[in-house]
Amino acid sequence: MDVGSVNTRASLFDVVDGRYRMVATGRASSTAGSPLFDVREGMHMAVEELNVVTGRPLLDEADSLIIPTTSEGAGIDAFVATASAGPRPRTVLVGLMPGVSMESARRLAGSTYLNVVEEIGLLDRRREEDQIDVLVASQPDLILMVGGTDGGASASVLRMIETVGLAVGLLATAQRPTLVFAGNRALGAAVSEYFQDRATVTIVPNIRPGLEVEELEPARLKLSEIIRQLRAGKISGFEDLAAWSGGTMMLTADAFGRVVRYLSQVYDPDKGVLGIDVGASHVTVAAAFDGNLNLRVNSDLGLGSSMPGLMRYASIEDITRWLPGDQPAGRVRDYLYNKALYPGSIPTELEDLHIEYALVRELIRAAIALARGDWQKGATTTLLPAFEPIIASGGAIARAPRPGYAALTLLDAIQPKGVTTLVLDPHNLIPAVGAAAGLLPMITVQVLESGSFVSLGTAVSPAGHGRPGRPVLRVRVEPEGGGEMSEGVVRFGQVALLPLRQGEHARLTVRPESGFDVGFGGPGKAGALRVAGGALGVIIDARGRPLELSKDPVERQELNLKWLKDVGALK
Amino acid sequence: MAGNQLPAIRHVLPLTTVRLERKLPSPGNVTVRVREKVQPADVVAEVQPPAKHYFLDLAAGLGIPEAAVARYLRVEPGAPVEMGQVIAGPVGIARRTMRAPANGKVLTLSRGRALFEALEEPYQIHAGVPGVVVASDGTTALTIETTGALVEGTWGNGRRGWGVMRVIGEGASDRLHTTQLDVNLRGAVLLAGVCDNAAPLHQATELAVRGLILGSLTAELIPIALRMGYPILLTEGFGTAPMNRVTYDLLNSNAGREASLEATLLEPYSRQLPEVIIPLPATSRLSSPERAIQLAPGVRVRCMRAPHIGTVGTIRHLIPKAEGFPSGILARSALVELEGTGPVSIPLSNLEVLG
Repeated sequence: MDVGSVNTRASLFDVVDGRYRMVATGRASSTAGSPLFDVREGMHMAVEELNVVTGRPLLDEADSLIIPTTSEGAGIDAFVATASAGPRPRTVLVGLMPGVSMESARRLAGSTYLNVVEEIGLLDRRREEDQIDVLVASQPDLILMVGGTDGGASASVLRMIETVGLAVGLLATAQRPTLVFAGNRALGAAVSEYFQDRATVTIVPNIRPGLEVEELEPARLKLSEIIRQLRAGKISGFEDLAAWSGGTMMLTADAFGRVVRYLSQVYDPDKGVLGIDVGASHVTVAAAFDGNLNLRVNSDLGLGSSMPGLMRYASIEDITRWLPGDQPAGRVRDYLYNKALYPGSIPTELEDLHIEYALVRELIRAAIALARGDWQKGATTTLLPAFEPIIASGGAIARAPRPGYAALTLLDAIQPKGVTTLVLDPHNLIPAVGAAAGLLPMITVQVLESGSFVSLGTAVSPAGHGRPGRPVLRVRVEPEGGGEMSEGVVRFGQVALLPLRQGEHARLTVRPESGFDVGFGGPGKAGALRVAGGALGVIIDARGRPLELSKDPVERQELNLKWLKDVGALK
Repeated sequence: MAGNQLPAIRHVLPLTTVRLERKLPSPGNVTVRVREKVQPADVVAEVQPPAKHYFLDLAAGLGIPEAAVARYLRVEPGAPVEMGQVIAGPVGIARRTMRAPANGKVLTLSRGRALFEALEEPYQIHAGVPGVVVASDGTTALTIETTGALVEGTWGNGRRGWGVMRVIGEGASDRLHTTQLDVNLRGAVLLAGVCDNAAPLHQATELAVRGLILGSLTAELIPIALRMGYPILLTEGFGTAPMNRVTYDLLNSNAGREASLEATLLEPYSRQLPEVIIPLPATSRLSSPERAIQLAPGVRVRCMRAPHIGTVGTIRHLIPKAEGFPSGILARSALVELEGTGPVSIPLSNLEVLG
């Protein structure tokens, strides 16, 4: 069960031929927000939908889940839950050095559902009493205190703790925030003792145990638990969800990150795995490299209530550049703000669809730009590292009317380089699979291989630039098992599709021209590899990297339209 | 039945019981009792603005060690003190003292310093509507119940106001112009169609209008609308869509009556929607607006998206299979008898119930 801000989804998995498969999904409106502010109704509606689809009774007469499965085949054996719905706790970060502990605190806060409203650091120029006033006026739900390497700074940390203590003491008991200390491990006891009679403080492992060492994961897990508790205090029904899941409930982003991390251990260790989840209230970016996960939850970006946040990172011109026709800037701006008022609404007109997916492109671009600093520190290139695969999830991506529309959106927004597989999660299964992996470790790979995810195809994206029409590469696709071979020359500015169906494999040979790099050891280097098919087959994106759109609006719109047609996004 | 869809509900009711919660921005003092009758201008709560804090370095000021400060403190922590009152000292031959910089109180001592809280003048919260106080926790919130017409909006600029409602313009789709705003509208709550120009918003400020109810406002005017000192409430959203007929007719029919505008700024998971309340007497006990209504045949709905944005209709039936739309998207839909258009398939996701 995944409880989002717009939808609640129930997914049923079962063992078929000895392997886990997704049997069915049920989707219902989320009821975490107005008018009910209670997630239970949405949960029940989603389970009822599952019941209707499968014919399998899942709820008993008291509307409780039937666990375990009965001899008549009713019910389920295990239940796991994830949730992204609910208000983000207002958080104040308190730390020492801007580039050290505060930086780690920002990264920790950015990897989960927190709304950072204020920061107070050692080099803060405000007077101490002003810091106290700011802390009180922020009305925080949570104060995250960091600072000091293990065995390192203590006096400055304790002074900072004292400031927090004075501020907390000014708040009425019912208004006092949850306190978390993730700093110098040696000070844990002293911090607990200091707050003894004023507030409860949770001590979590130091997120910066050494100057060059950052460990966010243990603190994030503990923080996830605190976020769940804070949300449960504001939205009803989370206790039931937690009870049904027997304590295995996770935040959606954590479950999403778990799957991406796992896949990075399974796939090519020389490449990373990239996961993008575009939700109504958040855009989550998970990038994992050989088991090291970088997770970023962008709570000010989303294709719903968080939509206006995009205007902090993109202009209207950035959005309209992706449109295949002329649209007044005012109309696009109105669309953006209306999407925030009606997050669950969907575009029925083609012009609206183009605007919606132009917004999705910019949301993904903004989210990646914010996230990449964590895994591409000091990068001088605008190109991303190589990923295999790239997985896209979220209502908007899943709802794309044709695979080509989803593929072109991802290619435009992410601009991958080299050879990568584009995978779509049309049923939003990743959070469920991630949460279930704690109980059933094999479920991730078995469900991924079961066809529940849609491979859009293998994308070949040469890095480099050239004149339009100049040959970029020669490509040959030889299907295994003797299917029809296809080959050809792809020219700069083209997006070409070579057929290779989902479930089929082929030997792909790519010979780039000098100046174009497809990841076989440098520009102009040719190579061959085994690739998997998909809804679009093999996609050759020869528009260059980084992608440079024409500055002439008419030419740009014509090219956008052509590319949409080339990938079969339009009839 | 669309059993898995719980649509948004927007209330447009000619006569109902309305409960208006007044949340204090910070803890204060609710000055009315439960079951007490109130009028719009009545003060219902006093709120203490966030206090300003100062560290008074008593050790340095008095020239004594930090450890000795407590001995020279002349006031009880937490007890009120007046500006200029001695709070510590005298010390030494010079009989040095430290005085309160403002009316307030010493909260605590820390490293030879006194944390001093300067009190600000409390400000008042008014009822905004005539009614009866039905709930109060004494310090953070109270609820006023009244009867009257209720129109829930889609967006507000975070202000609230109260005044006689006046209609300007030719109808629900008429654009608001400065030429329509004259001195006769001073102090009124204005009902107009759409606004795509900043000039009328500024002119309304000069006329000291008490509020503006619009169908739509172009999104580029949001920053200006947020700066206006009077409440602005939208019933449809952003752009130039006219106010839906049902809402316009209801408001228009109440022109000349006093209206309360709660142009609440929408926050995710906020329980308070922007709304217009027109107090009306009720001869019998009225029910409160329904919290949830399922989409079903006969239910009145409003379309939230193009090409029928803002149009009101009635559900004929729910279409059992997903429908395809010009965008290529497949969606569960309803056949809706739209006013002035006829039967149209509309995705359930694009409908809200007009309660």
